[in-house]
Amino acid sequence: MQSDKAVTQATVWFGQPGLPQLVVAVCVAALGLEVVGAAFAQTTSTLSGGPPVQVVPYVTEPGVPAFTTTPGTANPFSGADGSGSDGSTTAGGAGATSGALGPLPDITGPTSASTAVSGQGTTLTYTNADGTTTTLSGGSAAWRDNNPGNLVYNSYTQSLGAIGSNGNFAVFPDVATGTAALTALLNGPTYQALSVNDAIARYAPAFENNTSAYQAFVTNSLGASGSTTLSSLSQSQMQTLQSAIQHQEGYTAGTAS
Amino acid sequence: MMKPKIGIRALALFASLATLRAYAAEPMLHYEPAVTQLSGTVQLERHYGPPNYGASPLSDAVLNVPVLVLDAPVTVQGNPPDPRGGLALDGTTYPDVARMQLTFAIPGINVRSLAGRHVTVEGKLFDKVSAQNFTDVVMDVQGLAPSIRAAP
Repeated sequence: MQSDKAVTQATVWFGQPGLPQLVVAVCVAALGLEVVGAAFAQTTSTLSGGPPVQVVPYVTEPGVPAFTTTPGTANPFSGADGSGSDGSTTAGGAGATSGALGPLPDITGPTSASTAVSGQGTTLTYTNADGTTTTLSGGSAAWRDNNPGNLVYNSYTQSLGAIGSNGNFAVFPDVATGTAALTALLNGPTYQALSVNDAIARYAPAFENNTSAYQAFVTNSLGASGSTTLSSLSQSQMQTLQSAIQHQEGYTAGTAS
Repeated sequence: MMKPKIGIRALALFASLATLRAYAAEPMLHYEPAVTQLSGTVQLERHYGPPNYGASPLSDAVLNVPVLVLDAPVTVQGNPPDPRGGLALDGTTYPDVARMQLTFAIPGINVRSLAGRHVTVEGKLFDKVSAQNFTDVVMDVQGLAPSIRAAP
């Protein structure tokens, strides 16, 4: 009786008895496989030897020993890279990774509480709160965008006050807001948990062999070791770190009109 | 009389399965603090750097950026908003991620020696945040081993 009822119900759904059971079975099986697959796909691995996330396994290259690089150990890729024989330069440009910190850029901007921005590249026009406009030309991207840290434009920087974008970069209404955004990033839980070296490596990654020089440059300026976590730095050290980043990104004024 | 209803239900069922299949088709990864292991081939890409990131090509730095071209694309799931009202760092979900910039906190890594090599890397993923992050998702590499593709 129950079975007849089920078949009748299935007949209502699919029209023919016999076929529905097959279809339902196939669908349930497919659903089960998908769920199992999704569960595997979301598994994350750990350094302590958990399963790899990616489904494509790998094997060690014949004749090449496997090794793991961990902070504080010798570099397995011996023979540092040199400065680039093909004419390429290193991140930050000349002078950014050597010597003392040097004079810090004058972080002041010509706009204030702007509400909108238009244009792109080397010329941007801001609409000010009073309806007037200010056009910024030349200088560096950090200056034109009121973005001393050259943060990218996304939901995070929108939440920190970005009013638009210039290419990938966030544009802030004034330099104070842009500076505050970098401060918020460095004082957020993610960066506070990082060491100085890790934070530098993320923000201005190594593209050649310049990272150690840049790390030394920053840690000398801070008077702290590279393994010091940002959460351990004093307010004045955090200020110095922020200035070093701004120095690295270049902050050069152009023309405001 | 019942046929249109049957068609709609069958269509809904298959649409659900198709959606599930799309989700399961590629691995779903998470941003830090999860540690992730990925395999792929390292490419060195040239990008303009400071101070104008290509807007002044004659004076901008040129950077050789290590990028891992993944063996298979992945989806990186954005973090949910902080219930305490925190900001959405690492909040963006990126489907079909096929390339990832690699960053190394370890001093002295010879980036050029990695070019063209098939490797397996282990590290933490983060959403691009600075101008020197050139892919949507970036990996902070903590471990690396040369590898070859497994036979299909």
